Amino acid sequence: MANGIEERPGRETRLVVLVVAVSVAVLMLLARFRFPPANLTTVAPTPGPFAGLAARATFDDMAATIAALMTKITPGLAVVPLVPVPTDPPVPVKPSAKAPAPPALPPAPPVVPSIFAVAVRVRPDVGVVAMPAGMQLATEPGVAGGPELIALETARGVASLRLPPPSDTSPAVPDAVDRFSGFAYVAVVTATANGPTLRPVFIGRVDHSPDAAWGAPTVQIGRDSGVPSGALIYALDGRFIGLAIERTGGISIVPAPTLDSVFAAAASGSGGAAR
Amino acid sequence: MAVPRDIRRREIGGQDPLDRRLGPPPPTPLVWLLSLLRTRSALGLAPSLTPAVIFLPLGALLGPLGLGLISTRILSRLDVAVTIALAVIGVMVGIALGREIRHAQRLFIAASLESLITIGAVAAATAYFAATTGLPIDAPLAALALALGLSASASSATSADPDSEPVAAVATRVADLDDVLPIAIAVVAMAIVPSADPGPRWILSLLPIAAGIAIGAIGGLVFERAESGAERAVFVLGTLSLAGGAAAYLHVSPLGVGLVAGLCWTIVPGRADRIVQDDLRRVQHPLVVLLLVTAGAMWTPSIAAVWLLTPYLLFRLAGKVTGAWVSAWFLDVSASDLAAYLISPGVLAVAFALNFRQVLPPATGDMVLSTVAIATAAFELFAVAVVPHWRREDRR
Repeated sequence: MANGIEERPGRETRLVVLVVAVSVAVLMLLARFRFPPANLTTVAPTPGPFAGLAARATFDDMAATIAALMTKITPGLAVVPLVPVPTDPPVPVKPSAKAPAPPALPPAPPVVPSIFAVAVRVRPDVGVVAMPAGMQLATEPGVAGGPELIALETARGVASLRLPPPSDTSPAVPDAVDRFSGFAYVAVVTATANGPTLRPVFIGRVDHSPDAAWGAPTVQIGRDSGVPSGALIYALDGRFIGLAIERTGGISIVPAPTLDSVFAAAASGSGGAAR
Repeated sequence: MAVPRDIRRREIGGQDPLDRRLGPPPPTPLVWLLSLLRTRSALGLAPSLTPAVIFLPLGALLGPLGLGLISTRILSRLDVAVTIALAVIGVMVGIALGREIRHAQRLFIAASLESLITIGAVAAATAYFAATTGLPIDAPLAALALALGLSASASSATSADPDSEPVAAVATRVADLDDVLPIAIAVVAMAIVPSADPGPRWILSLLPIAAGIAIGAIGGLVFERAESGAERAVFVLGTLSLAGGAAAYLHVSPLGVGLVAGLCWTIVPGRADRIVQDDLRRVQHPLVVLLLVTAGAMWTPSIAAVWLLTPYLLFRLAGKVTGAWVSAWFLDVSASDLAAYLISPGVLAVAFALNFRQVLPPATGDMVLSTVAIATAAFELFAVAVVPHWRREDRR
């Protein structure tokens, strides 16, 4: 082939043109189709390449601990609705002969729980709840099986309740922390309309001081501890520390052994500690 | 393909003069297939099959969608090793660049042109196809197109025996050098891809260079001070792990960090590049196997990946043929021969896909990896067939 050298680039150029033309033609043909519609699903983002080897964050452990604790202690808790104590109706004044008749009073609104409180079972059927001043248990008339007030301890700011039995067979009365010394993360249980909820709180310095109302020392944790009055305090291992109540110096925790000795004994009729 | 000479006399079945003028008879398909398996080798396992053909399907078989021996949890753990393996591949490309760039600038320009044309062809086709067909993607269209384009640009010329003929030697060097530009583009692309990192983008594109220089300096300082071979190997592996770890921490391309580090070790005085190359030779094959098996195990079948496969295959082929045609003007080789050798994508295509999977949103990342994995196996098989066929036609 005399002109083989000239032929070869020509053949290669034709090859390039052919390949490109075929590719473009097929692309144009395929582009006439529409991708079948499908719902995109939300998936978790891909973790970083070293996420597997990195130590898990303490907060993740904390969240897992709190979630596990929630499952563990829920049978020992009950959420009860509270409403303000109705004020006394005004004394009707005898109308004078000249004065016009007063308008008729509007009908009383239905009882709607304004806040919720969480009660801890000191016995399977007896619970203790912090009762703020001016509040009372909201009881629906004609509804059986709800919480019933046993005794209101005004001086202590708590009330004992008769509670329906827990739905499961797990032990409802938790183990107690004998003496809480502070400087620890605890789980603070508060109430929502849908049930109890937990959040971790660090409690620093605490002071054990005598409390005349309880006849035993309570644990003062101060005002800025992040623990609201009426909350239940649990150790992260599930043991019950106590009930937070409002005192003059701030929030104090009534230790679990004190609650147990006062209310469990009172409910069983062996003591008359209720004041 | 070597054809044994028939020395039999024509009276007992040997060739007569007419037979010799007609040439050897065309082989049957079975003979042709067996000749492929006999004539070349890879890893010593199956003579003619490249690692991608073996280990990508093996990974898919062992992966979560197959036998489940490689679970999702193991895959997440393997991400660490994959990142380091990508850095190692970057180092190898950097060392090749450092050695060739001094006396083969023309070759480097030709290789970069070839890869640039392939990137452009595949990226443009992918973007047009995805936009026209309404392909559902959870990433910017440009990011998907660029990821596939960069993955398509990789060539390994694994079907070429550098000692067999001049064009194979040139193709091998082009395949070594055509990975440099895609890695550089990948470094910039990963800085552009939207991420949660609020830092300035230009810093992200400079970080791989800074990290690579720092790791290159560390390696240059410690490699030659090792008192034993074992200590030196520890230094090398530790430095490579540092390259991968730094890239992962900075959310930049480990390929880019490794490239700069490898380039530093080649440019600076001393034997750092040879030390690294000697030690990498021991881990090179396990790392290739690890990358391919991991990519196979991560393969997720999806309709979108199948849809993207056709434009990817077509336009990678078109890009390689066109790129080789343009590069042939700079090199004294036949464009068709060069294109035939560059068809084989090798492990670097999978490496690019794994790298982009780490930064793209999950659905798009899986789509890119699945498309590239299937296409890589297909092109490797195609290369097995096309090169001997090509050579046989040339001999006629």
